[in-house]
Amino acid sequence: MRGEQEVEQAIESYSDMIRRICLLHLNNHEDTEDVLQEVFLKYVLHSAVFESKEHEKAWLIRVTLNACKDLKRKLFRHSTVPLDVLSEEAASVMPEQMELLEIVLSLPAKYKDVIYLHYYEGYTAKEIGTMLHKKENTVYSLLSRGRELLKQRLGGGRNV
Amino acid sequence: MYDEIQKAFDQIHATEQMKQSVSDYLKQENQKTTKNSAKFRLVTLAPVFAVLLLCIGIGNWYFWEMPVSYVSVDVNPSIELTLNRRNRVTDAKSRNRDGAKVLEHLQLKGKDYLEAVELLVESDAMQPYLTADAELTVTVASVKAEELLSGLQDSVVATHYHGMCGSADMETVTAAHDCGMSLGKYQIYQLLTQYGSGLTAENCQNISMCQLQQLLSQYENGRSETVSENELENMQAGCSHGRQQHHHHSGHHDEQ
Repeated sequence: MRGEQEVEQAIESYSDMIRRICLLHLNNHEDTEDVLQEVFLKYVLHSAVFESKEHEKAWLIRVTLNACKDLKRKLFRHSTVPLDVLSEEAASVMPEQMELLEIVLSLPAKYKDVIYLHYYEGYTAKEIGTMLHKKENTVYSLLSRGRELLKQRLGGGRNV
Repeated sequence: MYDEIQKAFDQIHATEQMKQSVSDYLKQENQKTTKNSAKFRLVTLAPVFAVLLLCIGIGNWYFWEMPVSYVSVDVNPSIELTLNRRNRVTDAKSRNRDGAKVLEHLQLKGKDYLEAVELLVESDAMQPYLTADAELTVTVASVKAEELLSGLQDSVVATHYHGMCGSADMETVTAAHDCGMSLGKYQIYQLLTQYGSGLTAENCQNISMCQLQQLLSQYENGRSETVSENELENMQAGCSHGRQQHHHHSGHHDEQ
């Protein structure tokens, strides 16, 4: 079991990232809190040593994605589009970015993850493939198709 | 697009409330785990405690209840009492047929040794044997024989029936049991053997204490010849004859 200080540090470092991944998949703050609790409980109980900060971060991303999927399955929320949650963020997000976030969140789940991981977290297609247990070429296809969808929904005026 | 997506997601943060709720939740879970592990430890240790208590219980029972003293009461009925550390009777055994008859209606287990001996001697079944010439003999084998004997010497055994109280080694107990005799009778048998009476343990079992004592006093007064078959038959017959006249003698005893 991990020490209290190490856990507090991880909460401080990775809560934002987990919150963002939850935003891609979940509908409200309550569900996000559930996932945050579950992920950090797994982190506390995970006894293996992480080789590096990068290893730790990748582990947390994978656990968060799985937790989101599990929660959605549990709550039968497959078909719900997670846009409502954005209204909870309206106060803190600039209006021009709100539109982009809405479009990203409206993408099918398989594109959202790779778009977020590539464009925000800066992972390469190979790294995303390892993380999501997908072939590198599949990730390239998903990125390419996701980009196309974004372009279309943004009105084609921007260079993605 | 990179920049725009960066900027958009940069504005999404976990609230302080979310972080706090995670911290609180983990603390709560940690306490549960600690409690559970404490419970687990207790559950694991419970059988160990149970075995320990059982051992203490058995040890305690063994310490207080194990046989430490033997008291034999011989007239012709031969009865042997086994005593625990608290001088209470844990077992009462007859060593001949007359003894079995006397014990038939007596409940001596759990009683103090003095109370048990007095009950035995004063029982209706024993009274017929306590004739004027009967030799009531109480023999004690114990590490605290002195204490038991002093109690017996102040009891009706000595004061009313003029019984003889003596002690024997603990080794004698085993030897007597091997011959199927009570302590008191075995001691006389040993002496008679030393004098060369030629009596066997089996012979002695059927001869009353009174007659054995008389025979012993003959040897102590210089007799040297062995007991003849005729004499043995007489002694054994005398024994049963004595038993038939017990009621008569009992009356005599009451007059004392």
